[in-house]
Amino acid sequence: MILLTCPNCGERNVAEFRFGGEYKSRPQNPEDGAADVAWAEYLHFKANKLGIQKEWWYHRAGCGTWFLAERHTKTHVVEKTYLWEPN
Amino acid sequence: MSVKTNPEGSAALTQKAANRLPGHPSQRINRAELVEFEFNGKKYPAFSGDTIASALWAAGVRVLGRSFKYHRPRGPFAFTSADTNALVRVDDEPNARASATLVKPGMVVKPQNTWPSLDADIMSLTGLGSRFMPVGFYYKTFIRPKALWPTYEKVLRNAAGLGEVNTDVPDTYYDKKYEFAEVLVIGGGPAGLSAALSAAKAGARTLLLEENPFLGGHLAYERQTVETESGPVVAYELAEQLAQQAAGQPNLQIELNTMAFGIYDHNWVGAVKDETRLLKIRAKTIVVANGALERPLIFDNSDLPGVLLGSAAQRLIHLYGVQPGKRAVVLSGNDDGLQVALDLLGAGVKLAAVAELRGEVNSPQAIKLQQAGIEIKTNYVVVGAKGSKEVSGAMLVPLDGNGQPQTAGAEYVSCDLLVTSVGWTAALGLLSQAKAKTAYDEARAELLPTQLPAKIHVAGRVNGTHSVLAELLEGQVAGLNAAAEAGFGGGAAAKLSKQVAGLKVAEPVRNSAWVYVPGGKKSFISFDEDVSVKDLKDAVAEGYNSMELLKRYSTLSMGPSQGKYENANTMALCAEANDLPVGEAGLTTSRPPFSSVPLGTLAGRVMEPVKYTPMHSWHVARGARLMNAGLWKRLIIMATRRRKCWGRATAWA
Repeated sequence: MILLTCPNCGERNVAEFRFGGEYKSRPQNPEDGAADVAWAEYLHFKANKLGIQKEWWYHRAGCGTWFLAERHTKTHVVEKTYLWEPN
Repeated sequence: MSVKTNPEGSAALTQKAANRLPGHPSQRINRAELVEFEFNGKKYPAFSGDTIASALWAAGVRVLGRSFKYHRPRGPFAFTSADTNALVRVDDEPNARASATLVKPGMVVKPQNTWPSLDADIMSLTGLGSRFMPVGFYYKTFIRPKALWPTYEKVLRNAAGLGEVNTDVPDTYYDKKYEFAEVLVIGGGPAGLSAALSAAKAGARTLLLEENPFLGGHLAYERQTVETESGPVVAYELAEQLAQQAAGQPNLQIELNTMAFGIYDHNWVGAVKDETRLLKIRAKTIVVANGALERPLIFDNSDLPGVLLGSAAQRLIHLYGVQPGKRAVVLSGNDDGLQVALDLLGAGVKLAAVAELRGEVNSPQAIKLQQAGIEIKTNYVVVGAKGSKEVSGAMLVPLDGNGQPQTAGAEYVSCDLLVTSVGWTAALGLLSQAKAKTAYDEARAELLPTQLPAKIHVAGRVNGTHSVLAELLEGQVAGLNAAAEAGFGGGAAAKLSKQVAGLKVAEPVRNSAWVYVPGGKKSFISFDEDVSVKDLKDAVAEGYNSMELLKRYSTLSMGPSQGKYENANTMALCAEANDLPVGEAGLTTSRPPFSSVPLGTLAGRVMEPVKYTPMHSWHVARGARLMNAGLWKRLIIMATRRRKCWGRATAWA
């Protein structure tokens, strides 16, 4: 029952959130026909790594915001949570 | 529920229980409140505060059921909540633990797993066929012919399983509660109480969970004098003092009858209170002080009713005022065992023999026994218990210079009680779930925690600390450090931690190297699953030699107690069978729940909300029949007399 800190609402039980998947950048549009492969990989392949993972969470039973968390996938230590910023 | 003092002159209540001792302040029964209950069709008396096991033992009933596989007669041997040797049906509830269930007036208790009767169980003949049911036999039999699978399934379903479910039982009230604490202390013994008091005094909001209906832990059932910082105190009186301090301590919430069953991520803890309420607890820091379980010694027929752990005999005498037997053989492997012998003497039990595994003893308990004229047979071991449904004698054998039993010198000692005291196993399940690392300590012959994760602290017997002064101080250190980690106070002084470390190093070794005394045909490691030493050796010989494989193949530790009284012995025997030192045998992963959780607490309240229309009371007053339209109660027909409708009589009233 891990605790996640929603950037809006504060520390809440994980039951209030929904996991939104690993943080991945969308593939650009390569010219050479590899676009389909890249898109398929973006959709279906997961890195699933052991270690700190940057991932999306959605506060479904609260404010409804989408935010990022950096969580260690084995120990569940959540390093930080923050809203996405363009940069 | 009201308790009567025998208004109708019930025969059961007037009968004097054969084994009751006179009253004493340490006892947790209330002799002014008589309770009558029924077991196996007969009525028995009890006092308020008795458990089913203690009340029946007081009445001379020791056999409460039959074992899972061989249907051997079984009764309580530990008198703790982890003692699953005595699972009984209580009213409509199957698999209730007789040692943990308080007697209520009118309770109807029935034995399980026995047919046609407890005394004469036909399935006990499976004992004769045991050579056709070796370990893992169900992986090798019931395979061909395939056409008989439906028959095999029917037969096996009837033979397997434990307890019967009554599906007509009306809903019982279960609910849940959320609790929050800055410091959560699991265990209300000397270490836990000390930790809770220290944390609360440091200003932290502290929650203490205790599985028994009373605080004190092992102090509650001990009558010897123990050392504390303020001088010597009688153990159960110290328990009372600590309990009173805790009751008056601000910032400290105490929950009795509450068993923590799991430590989950980020210090979320699940617990069950009064078997009906699920506590969902979030704590900033946790002090685990849930104690240790006494280790049984494995020998021929050590599962006979009447073979008890030392602490079980002490619980019977000091908590419930029950004399455990009339004539006892005590097998001691540590000074706790000699203390048990003294306690038995004090309860009027004749000591037929005191066998001591060690070569020499010179503790205060040994001196007291010698002064009472009791001979301590050093370098002796018990190789077997004799008896058909209950123990009637023990075979004592001297040990030679190499510590091996010399069967030539065997002597039979008749007794109706055989008490063993060979060591303790720290109850590490909760700590392991919390991802603490454990390692086998060669010198102390026990598994102990070595590395704790952040925000988890440990104190007391679960950390291998048995001397009361050390438990109290270690609890203080843990409580102060937990409070500091939660933001309250400066933590324990280095001087105090050093003092604790010094006391721990000076503790005598309590765990005997003896795990199994060879020479028996029926030496069971697991009482839950009827797994014998031979089964373990066969499994290892078949190639299932790692602990994880061995566990799954032999079903060791997979019974109702989840191996609480087996794991230490299994680890030692598995290592021996693999020619490894004990510490390298490995462990199986500990998973929640640590103790049994009634399914009803997970289901929670039966909530059937209902919505009424504004017309509802008008309809009801005019005799309407209603229906459920979703959550709404809606009118289906308004009829006050019989009508003929399209040729058919309708019976609406």
